Amino acid sequence: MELHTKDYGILEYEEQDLFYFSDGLFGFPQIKHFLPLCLNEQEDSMMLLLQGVEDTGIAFVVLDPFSIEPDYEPRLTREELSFLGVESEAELSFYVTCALKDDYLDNIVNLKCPLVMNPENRRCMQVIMADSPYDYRKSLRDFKLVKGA
Amino acid sequence: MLVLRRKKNESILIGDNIRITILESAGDGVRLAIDAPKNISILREELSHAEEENREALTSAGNLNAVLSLQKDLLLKLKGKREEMVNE
Repeated sequence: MELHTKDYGILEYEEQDLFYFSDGLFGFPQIKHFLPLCLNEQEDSMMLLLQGVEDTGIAFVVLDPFSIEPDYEPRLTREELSFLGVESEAELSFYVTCALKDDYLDNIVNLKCPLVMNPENRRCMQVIMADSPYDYRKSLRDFKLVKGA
Repeated sequence: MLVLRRKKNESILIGDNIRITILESAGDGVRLAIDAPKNISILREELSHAEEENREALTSAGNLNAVLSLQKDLLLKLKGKREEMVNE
Protein backbone atom coordinates (compact mmCIF):
# COMPACT_ATOMS: atom_id res chain seq x y z
CA MET A 1 0.00 0.00 0.00
CA GLU A 2 1.10 3.58 -0.53
CA LEU A 3 0.72 6.71 1.50
CA HIS A 4 1.26 10.07 -0.21
CA THR A 5 2.61 12.65 2.22
CA LYS A 6 3.58 16.26 1.73
CA ASP A 7 6.69 16.20 3.90
CA TYR A 8 7.94 12.66 3.53
CA GLY A 9 7.06 11.70 -0.04
CA ILE A 10 5.40 8.44 -1.00
CA LEU A 11 5.65 5.81 1.70
CA GLU A 12 5.12 2.14 1.01
CA TYR A 13 3.78 -0.01 3.79
CA GLU A 14 1.95 -3.18 4.72
CA GLU A 15 -1.22 -3.21 6.75
CA GLN A 16 0.56 -4.99 9.62
CA ASP A 17 3.14 -2.18 9.90
CA LEU A 18 0.49 0.19 11.24
CA PHE A 19 -0.07 1.20 14.84
CA TYR A 20 -3.80 0.94 15.55
CA PHE A 21 -5.36 3.42 17.98
CA SER A 22 -9.06 2.52 18.05
CA ASP A 23 -9.77 5.75 19.98
CA GLY A 24 -7.18 7.90 18.22
CA LEU A 25 -4.99 10.24 20.25
CA PHE A 26 -6.35 12.89 22.64
CA GLY A 27 -7.72 15.69 20.49
CA PHE A 28 -7.35 13.58 17.32
CA PRO A 29 -9.97 10.85 17.59
CA GLN A 30 -10.37 10.64 13.82
CA ILE A 31 -6.86 9.28 13.18
CA LYS A 32 -6.88 5.58 14.03
CA HIS A 33 -3.86 4.34 12.08
CA PHE A 34 -0.30 5.60 12.20
CA LEU A 35 2.61 4.43 10.11
CA PRO A 36 5.78 4.35 12.23
CA LEU A 37 8.81 5.67 10.37
CA CYS A 38 12.21 4.95 11.74
CA LEU A 39 14.38 7.90 10.79
CA ASN A 40 17.57 6.27 11.85
CA GLU A 41 19.38 3.81 9.64
CA GLN A 42 20.81 1.95 12.61
CA GLU A 43 17.36 0.60 13.47
CA ASP A 44 17.63 2.20 16.86
CA SER A 45 13.97 2.96 17.42
CA MET A 46 14.69 5.57 20.07
CA MET A 47 12.78 8.01 17.92
CA LEU A 48 9.95 7.42 15.50
CA LEU A 49 7.82 9.58 13.32
CA LEU A 50 4.20 8.46 13.53
CA GLN A 51 2.59 9.40 10.25
CA GLY A 52 -1.21 9.59 10.32
CA VAL A 53 -2.88 7.44 7.66
CA GLU A 54 -6.41 8.87 7.62
CA ASP A 55 -4.98 12.41 7.39
CA THR A 56 -1.44 12.70 6.02
CA GLY A 57 -1.20 16.25 7.37
CA ILE A 58 -0.92 14.72 10.82
CA ALA A 59 2.34 13.33 12.15
CA PHE A 60 3.95 13.12 15.56
CA VAL A 61 7.53 12.69 16.61
CA VAL A 62 7.74 10.22 19.48
CA LEU A 63 10.67 9.16 21.65
CA ASP A 64 11.40 6.04 23.62
CA PRO A 65 10.95 7.47 27.13
CA PHE A 66 13.46 5.01 28.62
CA SER A 67 16.19 6.39 26.40
CA ILE A 68 15.95 9.78 28.10
CA GLU A 69 14.63 8.67 31.51
CA PRO A 70 15.96 5.18 32.30
CA ASP A 71 13.97 5.05 35.56
CA TYR A 72 10.64 5.80 33.86
CA GLU A 73 7.95 3.67 35.51
CA PRO A 74 4.66 3.91 33.63
CA ARG A 75 1.67 2.40 35.45
CA LEU A 76 -1.58 1.65 33.67
CA THR A 77 -4.96 0.86 35.19
CA ARG A 78 -6.34 -2.67 35.05
CA GLU A 79 -8.88 -1.47 32.46
CA GLU A 80 -6.15 -0.05 30.24
CA LEU A 81 -4.07 -3.23 30.45
CA SER A 82 -7.06 -5.35 29.59
CA PHE A 83 -8.00 -3.04 26.70
CA LEU A 84 -4.55 -3.65 25.26
CA GLY A 85 -4.82 -7.37 25.94
CA VAL A 86 -1.91 -7.76 28.35
CA GLU A 87 -1.36 -8.62 32.00
CA SER A 88 1.39 -6.14 32.80
CA GLU A 89 3.25 -3.05 31.60
CA ALA A 90 6.31 -5.20 30.87
CA GLU A 91 4.59 -6.58 27.76
CA LEU A 92 4.05 -3.12 26.27
CA SER A 93 6.05 -0.61 24.25
CA PHE A 94 5.97 3.01 25.33
CA TYR A 95 6.48 6.22 23.37
CA VAL A 96 6.15 9.86 24.38
CA THR A 97 5.27 12.76 22.11
CA CYS A 98 7.97 15.32 21.48
CA ALA A 99 7.20 18.90 20.41
CA LEU A 100 10.11 20.21 18.37
CA LYS A 101 11.64 23.64 18.98
CA ASP A 102 14.46 25.52 17.27
CA ASP A 103 16.95 24.25 19.83
CA TYR A 104 16.41 20.56 20.44
CA LEU A 105 17.17 21.04 24.15
CA ASP A 106 13.94 23.08 24.32
CA ASN A 107 11.87 20.24 22.87
CA ILE A 108 9.00 19.28 25.13
CA VAL A 109 8.09 15.70 25.94
CA ASN A 110 4.95 14.48 27.69
CA LEU A 111 5.79 11.67 30.11
CA LYS A 112 2.31 11.86 31.66
CA CYS A 113 0.47 10.72 28.54
CA PRO A 114 2.50 7.98 26.85
CA LEU A 115 1.41 6.23 23.68
CA VAL A 116 1.30 2.58 24.61
CA MET A 117 1.43 -0.36 22.22
CA ASN A 118 1.02 -4.09 22.52
CA PRO A 119 3.69 -5.23 20.04
CA GLU A 120 1.94 -8.60 19.62
CA ASN A 121 -1.10 -7.14 17.88
CA ARG A 122 -0.14 -3.46 17.39
CA ARG A 123 -3.14 -2.36 19.39
CA CYS A 124 -2.39 1.04 20.89
CA MET A 125 -3.82 3.70 23.13
CA GLN A 126 -2.73 6.97 24.62
CA VAL A 127 -3.20 7.06 28.38
CA ILE A 128 -3.19 9.79 31.01
CA MET A 129 -1.34 8.55 34.07
CA ALA A 130 -3.21 10.90 36.38
CA ASP A 131 -1.68 9.63 39.61
CA SER A 132 1.87 9.46 38.30
CA PRO A 133 4.59 11.91 39.32
CA TYR A 134 5.29 12.75 35.67
CA ASP A 135 4.60 16.08 33.99
CA TYR A 136 2.64 16.91 30.86
CA ARG A 137 5.59 19.07 29.83
CA LYS A 138 9.25 18.54 30.43
CA SER A 139 11.94 20.05 28.29
CA LEU A 140 14.77 17.84 27.09
CA ARG A 141 17.33 20.00 28.87
CA ASP A 142 15.77 18.94 32.19
CA PHE A 143 16.76 15.31 31.72
CA LYS A 144 20.02 14.29 33.34
CA LEU A 145 20.92 12.12 30.38
CA VAL A 146 20.39 14.88 27.84
CA LYS A 147 21.74 17.83 29.78
CA GLY A 148 25.37 18.87 29.77
CA ALA A 149 27.93 19.45 27.09
CA MET B 1 -13.35 30.76 44.40
CA LEU B 2 -16.55 29.38 45.88
CA VAL B 3 -16.15 26.28 48.04
CA LEU B 4 -19.27 24.30 49.00
CA ARG B 5 -19.87 21.23 51.11
CA ARG B 6 -22.33 18.74 49.62
CA LYS B 7 -23.59 15.30 50.65
CA LYS B 8 -24.33 12.28 48.53
CA ASN B 9 -27.23 12.87 46.11
CA GLU B 10 -27.14 16.60 46.69
CA SER B 11 -26.65 18.90 43.72
CA ILE B 12 -25.44 22.32 42.79
CA LEU B 13 -26.87 24.41 39.98
CA ILE B 14 -24.76 26.57 37.72
CA GLY B 15 -26.72 29.13 35.74
CA ASP B 16 -30.13 28.04 34.50
CA ASN B 17 -29.30 24.71 32.95
CA ILE B 18 -26.28 23.01 34.49
CA ARG B 19 -26.75 20.65 37.41
CA ILE B 20 -23.96 18.69 39.10
CA THR B 21 -24.95 15.91 41.48
CA ILE B 22 -22.67 14.01 43.87
CA LEU B 23 -23.39 10.31 43.25
CA GLU B 24 -20.80 8.72 45.41
CA SER B 25 -17.71 9.53 47.41
CA ALA B 26 -15.22 6.81 48.30
CA GLY B 27 -11.66 7.28 49.46
CA ASP B 28 -10.20 10.21 47.55
CA GLY B 29 -12.56 9.73 44.58
CA VAL B 30 -15.92 11.32 43.87
CA ARG B 31 -18.46 10.31 41.23
CA LEU B 32 -20.38 13.20 39.72
CA ALA B 33 -23.38 13.32 37.43
CA ILE B 34 -23.55 16.37 35.20
CA ASP B 35 -26.65 17.58 33.40
CA ALA B 36 -25.82 20.25 30.87
CA PRO B 37 -26.87 21.36 27.40
CA LYS B 38 -25.12 19.53 24.55
CA ASN B 39 -23.24 22.64 23.43
CA ILE B 40 -21.41 22.92 26.76
CA SER B 41 -18.05 21.19 26.60
CA ILE B 42 -17.29 19.04 29.65
CA LEU B 43 -13.78 17.68 29.93
CA ARG B 44 -11.74 16.07 32.61
CA GLU B 45 -9.03 18.67 33.15
CA GLU B 46 -6.28 16.09 32.47
CA LEU B 47 -7.81 15.46 29.07
CA SER B 48 -7.66 19.09 28.15
CA HIS B 49 -3.93 19.17 29.10
CA ALA B 50 -3.32 16.01 27.09
CA GLU B 51 -5.04 17.46 24.02
CA GLU B 52 -3.10 20.69 24.32
CA GLU B 53 0.25 18.87 24.47
CA ASN B 54 -0.69 16.71 21.48
CA ARG B 55 -1.61 19.80 19.47
CA GLU B 56 1.72 21.40 20.26
CA ALA B 57 3.61 18.25 19.30
CA LEU B 58 1.67 18.00 16.05
CA THR B 59 2.53 21.39 14.62
CA SER B 60 6.25 20.72 14.56
CA ALA B 61 6.43 17.25 13.04
CA GLY B 62 6.01 18.43 9.45
CA ASN B 63 9.48 19.92 9.41
CA LEU B 64 11.69 17.10 8.17
CA ASN B 65 14.91 19.00 8.77
CA ALA B 66 14.01 19.73 12.37
CA VAL B 67 13.10 16.09 12.89
CA LEU B 68 16.34 14.82 11.41
CA SER B 69 18.53 17.24 13.29
CA LEU B 70 16.81 16.30 16.56
CA GLN B 71 17.45 12.69 15.76
CA LYS B 72 21.12 13.29 15.09
CA ASP B 73 21.83 15.63 18.01
CA LEU B 74 19.91 13.60 20.53
CA LEU B 75 21.42 10.29 19.48
CA LEU B 76 24.92 11.71 19.70
CA LYS B 77 24.20 13.22 23.10
CA LEU B 78 22.65 10.07 24.55
CA LYS B 79 25.27 7.75 23.09
CA GLY B 80 27.99 10.02 24.52
CA LYS B 81 26.32 9.95 27.93
CA ARG B 82 25.94 6.20 27.87
CA GLU B 83 29.60 5.76 27.05
CA GLU B 84 30.56 8.15 29.85
CA MET B 85 28.46 6.11 32.27
CA VAL B 86 30.03 2.86 31.11
CA ASN B 87 33.51 4.35 31.43
CA GLU B 88 32.79 5.60 34.92
